[in-house]
Amino acid sequence: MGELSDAWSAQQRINIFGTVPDVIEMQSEGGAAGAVHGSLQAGALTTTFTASQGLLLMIPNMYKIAGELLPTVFHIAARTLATHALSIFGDHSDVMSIRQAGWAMLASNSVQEVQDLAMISHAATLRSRVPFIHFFDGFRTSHEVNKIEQLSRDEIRAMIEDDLVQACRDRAMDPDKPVLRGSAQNPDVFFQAREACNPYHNAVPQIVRETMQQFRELTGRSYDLFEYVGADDAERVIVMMGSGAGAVEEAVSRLSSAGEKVGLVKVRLYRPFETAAFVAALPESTRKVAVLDRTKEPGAVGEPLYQDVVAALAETGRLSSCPTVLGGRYGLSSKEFTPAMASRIFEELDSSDPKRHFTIGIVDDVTHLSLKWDPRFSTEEEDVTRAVFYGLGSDGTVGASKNSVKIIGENTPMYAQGYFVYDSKKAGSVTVSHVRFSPRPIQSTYLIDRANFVACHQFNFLERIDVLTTAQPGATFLLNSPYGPDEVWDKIPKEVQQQIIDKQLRLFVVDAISVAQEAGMGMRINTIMQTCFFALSGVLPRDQAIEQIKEAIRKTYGKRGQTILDRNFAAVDAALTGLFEVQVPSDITSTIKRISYSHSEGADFVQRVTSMLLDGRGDLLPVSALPVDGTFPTDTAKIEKRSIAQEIPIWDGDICIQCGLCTLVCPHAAIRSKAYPKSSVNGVPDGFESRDWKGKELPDHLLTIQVAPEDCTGCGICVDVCPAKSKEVVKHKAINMEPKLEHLDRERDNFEYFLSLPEVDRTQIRTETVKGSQLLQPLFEYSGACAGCGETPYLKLMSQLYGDRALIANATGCSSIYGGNLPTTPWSANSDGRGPTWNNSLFEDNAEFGLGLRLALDQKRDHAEFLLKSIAGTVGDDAVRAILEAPQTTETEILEQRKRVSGLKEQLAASDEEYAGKLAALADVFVNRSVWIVGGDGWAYDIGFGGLDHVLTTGRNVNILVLDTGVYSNTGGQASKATPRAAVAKFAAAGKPSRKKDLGMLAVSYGNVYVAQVAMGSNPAQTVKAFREAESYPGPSLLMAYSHCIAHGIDMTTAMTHQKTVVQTGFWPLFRYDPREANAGEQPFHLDSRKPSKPFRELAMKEARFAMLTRMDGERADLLLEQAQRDIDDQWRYYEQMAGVERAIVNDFEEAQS
Amino acid sequence: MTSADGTNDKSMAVAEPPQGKASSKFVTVDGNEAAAFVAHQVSEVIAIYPITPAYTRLADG
Repeated sequence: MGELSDAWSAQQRINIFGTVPDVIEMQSEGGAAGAVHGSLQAGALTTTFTASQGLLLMIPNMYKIAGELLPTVFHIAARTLATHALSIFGDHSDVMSIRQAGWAMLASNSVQEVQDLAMISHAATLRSRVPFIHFFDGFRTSHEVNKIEQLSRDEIRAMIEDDLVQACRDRAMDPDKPVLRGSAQNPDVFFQAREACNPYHNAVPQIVRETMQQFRELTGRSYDLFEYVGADDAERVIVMMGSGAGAVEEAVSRLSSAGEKVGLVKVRLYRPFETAAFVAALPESTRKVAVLDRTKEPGAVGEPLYQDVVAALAETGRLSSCPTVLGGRYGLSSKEFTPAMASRIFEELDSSDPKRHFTIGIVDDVTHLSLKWDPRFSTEEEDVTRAVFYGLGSDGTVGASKNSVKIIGENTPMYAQGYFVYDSKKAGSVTVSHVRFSPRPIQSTYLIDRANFVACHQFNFLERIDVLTTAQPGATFLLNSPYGPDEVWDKIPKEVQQQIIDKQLRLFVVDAISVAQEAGMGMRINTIMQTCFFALSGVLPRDQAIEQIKEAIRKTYGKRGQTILDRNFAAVDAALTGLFEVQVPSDITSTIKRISYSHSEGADFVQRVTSMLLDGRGDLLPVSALPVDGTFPTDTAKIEKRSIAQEIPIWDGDICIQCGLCTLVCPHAAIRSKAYPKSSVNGVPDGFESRDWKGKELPDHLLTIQVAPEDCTGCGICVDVCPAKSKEVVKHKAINMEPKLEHLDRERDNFEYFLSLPEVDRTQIRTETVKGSQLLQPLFEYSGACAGCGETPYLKLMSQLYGDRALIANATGCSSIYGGNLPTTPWSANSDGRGPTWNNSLFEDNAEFGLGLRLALDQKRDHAEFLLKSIAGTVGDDAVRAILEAPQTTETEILEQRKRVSGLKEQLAASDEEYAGKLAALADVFVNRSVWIVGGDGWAYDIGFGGLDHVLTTGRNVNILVLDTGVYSNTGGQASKATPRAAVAKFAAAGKPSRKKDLGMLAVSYGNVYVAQVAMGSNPAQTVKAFREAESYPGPSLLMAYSHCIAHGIDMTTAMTHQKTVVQTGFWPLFRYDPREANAGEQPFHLDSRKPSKPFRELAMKEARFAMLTRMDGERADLLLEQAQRDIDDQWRYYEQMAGVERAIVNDFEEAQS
Repeated sequence: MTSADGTNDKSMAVAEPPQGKASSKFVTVDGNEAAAFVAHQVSEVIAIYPITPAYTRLADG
């Protein structure tokens, strides 16, 4: 909602008052709510949009806004609150947490209602002065595309009364008629004053009712506070709000037409809850009610809506005639909720001994609350086209599906609905588009599980995903296949063959990639698949469908010239000639089997749980399978083997100079280097390459650079950075991208052998060098980050250097998604079982959360020290001193300390001293722990800055790593205060007009913070040096790491080498500031990059985020780019001065701490 | 459903045109756009901060 508003204001779209709304991005939702509060107090009509944690951050202001009777509407895409885990999906846990704030709450159940009730909310808040929460289900409604009747400007204008707008102005703070608000009150009057607002809240239901009546007169669409649908003489009734009402309504319609006495009350105005209106909506015949809540309130009598309903029935005396009230939870985190489940709930109401409190949609084998439902109950109609399209995140399937919905929805009398399911991977993510076309409005608010059309846009999905599980018997199956109709059958896995035969599917193939390439469209297959869909589905007459597709192409690509148009048109025509029906044989012939993780090797939990998630069967897991407190094993990404690369890097050892750069920059730890003793080699597979290790520190060692062929994403960054070129063969390097299929079998064996070779002795290598660090085992591997990600190489480097003793606090964002989104995690463990332990608290509190980890560690160490000293008699004074005073900066020193601690624990085990057991439990803390606070620039520069700033001042030993992409990457590329001037980002659609915040210098100003700015692709040695200095510094450290991102609009393959230009222009100077040097009387600020040698414009023209502005608005681009150059010049001058000036610190670090 | 060679095309039977006024404008939008469409027209100041799913990614592959 916010992005659309920003985009419309950037286009100068005006509101009904004739002005362009002022859209401002704040630093957090707390900030947004504060700005809204101020704007309302000064008399402007003001709104905001949010969800989940964002809504929680607004709560303090929401109490104020309601207490001051300021009319406003907050539109909420209702979403799960983070508890045992974060979930971006939908339920009502966020909106239910603000129900006592004094706001009216209006629920929309469908896309049409979202528009209509948004309108009614805005009108009713002006009339009542009570602020409104208007909410609808996140994803299921916020992201469902549906055909709606749009309000006209006149209708909107008619709903907003000028005199009420004027009343807002009249009440506004104004020095011409000064007032005092926000006073502090004492016990004498606070209570009475709190009650003074009652008449306003009491009036809300009637005002909403009247506003709905006015709306009906204007539009013909009718709403009420509570709406009943179902049998007139219903005895069993479900009460609920939200999108699930669509599924229940379908069930009610089906059941009541079969004579069952069932019905549904949809709650629209949830606050204020008008008991009389609710009871009036219930048919008098109602005897039993099931109230459904899409939230969980542990410890309560029941969930909130249940409690309201029970109270309403009791207060109105209806409980005697309707004595049975059940409370059910459903749909947490977008769990599917279907008509079959609704039907089961009606059955439960009929039971002689119903569960008073139940859940539906899961199997609860622990507290046995769940109802078992029969999924065969369906309300899908014969005349509705139900199509499911499987695609890749990058292949345009979702775009084409949305486009099909638009074609039907806006150009025919039919109704259309589209809903799109994505997995959480950023590279190679699978998308499933669920599309319905119907002669009637579509309220099926659940996924399609009886498709009459299934399309698989990626042939290799057949081996990995059960694409035909949704196909109903006799359905049409369209497959993008490199194999023609005569040869495809044997290439299909046997499970799929079985489904095709059993379900009597009609199978069609098209070689969309060949068609696309012949038409000059590269890999863009979406239009071709869309054309085939229309040709096969018959949803429109074929000629008409083709014309509509071409019209859509004209709209989308018209500006890009006739050639592009002609290519697309040619692809549409060629699609039809390339489409063939396959004569389906009656026998299973395939030798190919679908991949299943369920029998894969791994720890018990992985077999029981993780493998089910990987097989796409997580919905089947019962409650007992899952941890009670959100604790999961690490070291699991390695079992995924997603095999998404087309090409993988292959090593040519003859040319290799053993520099380690390829492994350093690999975003997925999919290319490894290992040095191992020649004596350890045994049973080498054919074709496994090795060369003598050239370093003197490891005599008689071999080196192998090895690709993990099924974990590589094929980004090509390793090859791009490889400096070793063949003198004989042009463009041949020490590693080269080659087709995966040619190498897969051999490299799979090689990689397995490579893993079996011993890891290097950490104490024998120079970990301070790039090549040395790259011999260390990464404990961050195979993440789901984008191919070519600029953030992950830093995390991997950290894991190599410190992973075996690291605690990680990770701010919400890209790094928490590729780092901690189930089913697996890339954070892994070494052969001793040691590795990073990881947690994500929130977005806004990560620095504080990480500090808390450090506080507990320090406290535990203090306690352990006390215990150790108190049993010095048993352990020996020398041993105590050795443990307490051990230096722990090098790998050897760490190893020595591990040995001391292990010896201590042995001693303690044999001791019967009072403290021995306690100390044994704590002793591991004597081995230095490394606390890492990790997040993106949205966290560090904006929402978490206050906390980060505070943590820097504490002097505590934490390492803060900012993966700086200069935008909010995870939510889709919005501007942060790290966004550079002139860059185009969301919320900075016209190019960011202000300068990037200099976070580094803010931190330097404290004097006792280690600060470094690094760019791995520009100077990897400086990066490694900075990581080591930061970690060894016994106080707070701040590492700012330049991270290229797909949001920059660059070629990701060359993104690492591109960082050289980034630094050469002075856009991202490299520096280190080390307080230890200041304390020693030396120059603490080192400018590690050279004076800018290239103009900023040269960099800008290589990045679409800047370059696009020159196309959009050349004049503004010139101005901003010139200013950006001045920013760079100015900053460089400042940094040079810093580097030339010695800073005297009054107190050294130790004194500052005392 | 129809065959690959395009014979037997059969478009859907549509019962009734959607109810509403003669001038009704039908659009296909998602819930976020439906809310923002109204909110943007009746507001003067909009203070925002990005969070999923209140923000729809405008572009997808």
